[in-house]
Amino acid sequence: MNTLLAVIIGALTVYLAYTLYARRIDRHVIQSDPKRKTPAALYMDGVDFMPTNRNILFGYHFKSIAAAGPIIGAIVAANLWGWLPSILWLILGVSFLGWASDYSGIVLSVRNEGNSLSAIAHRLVSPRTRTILFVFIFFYLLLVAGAFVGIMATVLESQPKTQLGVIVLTAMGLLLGQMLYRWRTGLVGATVLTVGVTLVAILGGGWTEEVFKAFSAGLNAMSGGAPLVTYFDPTLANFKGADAKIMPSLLFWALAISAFCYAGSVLPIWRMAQPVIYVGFWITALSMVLGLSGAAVASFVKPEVAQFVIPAFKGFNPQLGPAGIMPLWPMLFVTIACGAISGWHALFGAVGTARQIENEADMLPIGGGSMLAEFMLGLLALLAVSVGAKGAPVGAFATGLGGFISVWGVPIQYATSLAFAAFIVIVLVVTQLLFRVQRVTLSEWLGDVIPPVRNQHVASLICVALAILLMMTGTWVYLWQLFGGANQMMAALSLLLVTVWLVSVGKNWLYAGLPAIFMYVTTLASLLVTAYNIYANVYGPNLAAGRMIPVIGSGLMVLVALLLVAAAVLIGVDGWRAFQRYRRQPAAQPRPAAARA
Amino acid sequence: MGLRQKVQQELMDSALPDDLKAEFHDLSQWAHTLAGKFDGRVSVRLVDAASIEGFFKSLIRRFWHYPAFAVEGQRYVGSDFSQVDALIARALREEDRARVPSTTPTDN
Repeated sequence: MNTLLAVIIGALTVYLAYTLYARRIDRHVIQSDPKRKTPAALYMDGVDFMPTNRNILFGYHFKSIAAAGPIIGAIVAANLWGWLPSILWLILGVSFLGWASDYSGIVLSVRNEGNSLSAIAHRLVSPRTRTILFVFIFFYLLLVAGAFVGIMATVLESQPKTQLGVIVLTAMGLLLGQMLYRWRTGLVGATVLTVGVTLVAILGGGWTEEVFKAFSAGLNAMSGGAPLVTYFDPTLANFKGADAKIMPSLLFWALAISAFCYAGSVLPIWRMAQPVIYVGFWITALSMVLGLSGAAVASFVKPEVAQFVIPAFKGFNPQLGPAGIMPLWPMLFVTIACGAISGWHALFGAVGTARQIENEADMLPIGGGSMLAEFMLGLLALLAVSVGAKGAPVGAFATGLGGFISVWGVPIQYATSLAFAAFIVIVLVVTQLLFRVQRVTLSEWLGDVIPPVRNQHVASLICVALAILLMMTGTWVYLWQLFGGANQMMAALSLLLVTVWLVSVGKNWLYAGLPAIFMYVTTLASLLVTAYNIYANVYGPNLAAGRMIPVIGSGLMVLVALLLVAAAVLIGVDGWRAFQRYRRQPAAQPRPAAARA
Repeated sequence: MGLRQKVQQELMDSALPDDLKAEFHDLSQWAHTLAGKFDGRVSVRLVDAASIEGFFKSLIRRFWHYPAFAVEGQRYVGSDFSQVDALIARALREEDRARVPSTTPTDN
């Protein structure tokens, strides 16, 4: 297998899934009608409801759904099961489930006065479903935060070359905010300066490598070279299991990332989050454009970087030793989340994009089209890790992507630095926004019972502390799979809701119902497998060794997994009852009502 | 207020410093008057200057300061909206003038 063939297969997948399946559902099942008034037109308020041009809305929606998920998931899955099952799930998932989930989330909201999934669940399924979804979302965000902070801290600590770039990105983001909004400098000049300096710092990360190594050594000397926390991690040493050591330097980078996210969460958007995202976009876009085009032509120009080097298939249940059970079904389907199907997309599509749809004919190109574009991002990550050298997953990804970029004449060491930076930037900018949403969620959930969490600083610190606890005491691969399970369960629940709605209005529900059943059963199973793995392989050994911090962290992870299972079962039962009710007697079309989230 | 509105409200409240927020408010108010002033013949496209689209628009149209306006290729940079009104009126007059020959009956 080589990258050119994979890119061609990916492009064919996008074309066939869109023209042969998605468009058919849009025409014959949903019957999108360009003449029907959308909520954006009916309730236009210039803020929430705003008819928006199709091309602009596509960019907005894609930017909101494309984050680290498709990249990290593909990297982890390729290392666990090989590239073949990973690429098959990406292709089949996006063709039969992914686009349907994203598109249907938007359709559901557009046809229900722009209401959010939870509000529609409240009306169509049962009142308690809304409350359960709310709790579900908080823990879902916590898992994402823990997984993202964990992987960023590990990459930054182990790759001193990347540290200068991240520090300069932060500084340049703050400078850009000051230039644009306070000094009123022109955008072009400010962009050239801030993006240019950031790029130089990323490419020149090697210049300060020794300085940062010495800095880390100094930090670690503070504890006499002893780890702060030691825990048994069954996924280390190529899944043979080993003691993981949290050194002061790792904690430092985790705290530095948390400080960054804390600032991004509490400072005005214009001061930090928005300009950092803007600078980061250029770095990411540059890497992705050079990488994807490089992957397509590498077979002709530089064949040595285009050949897959990792095994195609490692088995249905790879011999993972003490890492416990890791069966391809259900675990592959939650490890690769966003590139195939993602609950976040449906959630965001329903509450954000749907309220800006100008014309029903735009629902498919924006919802389905964005998902197919995200599939290509997941495919790029899979290609990069498949041609990359052995080693840590993110390192393999950066080596692979660096190889693709080097096709265009960029020296390999600079190309690899750019690839590492792109990865960190993508994760970092998403995480800072995620903490903001999580803080608001916590305040809404517990603000009445525990008034101090209404304070943004208190709520932010709680969110950051919980994420660090998960990072320090859990096992990263399991944490990622737990997040994947929650994310995919969200997709299953949104498809379930779409199914209930379709049957309630007398439409054919199979295109959403069958994926809903598959994802529901798969994610329930995966959450139980993950809970078992954490309990048997992390909680148990660490408890036996008397290591209390990892015991608390892994215990928390098991509890979260079981909580998610309980929430999913309750929603599933309510959904099934509603489905049966509407099959017997379809509901009347909803009356126009004020939209709510 | 739901979660979505809370987050949206917070993002909007802190999207701009106070002075720029006031400027944006004035701009928005003025944009809403256009339909009445020009009988709905004007379509307005607002581009966020601090965005990727804003970057390319600024580069192509050579806008180095904001707010900046482009009316059928004519440029104006500043906050005196009466100048933009004048540009729009002129553009509409030229459009009317260009349309006249094609709609005038001809003698054979």
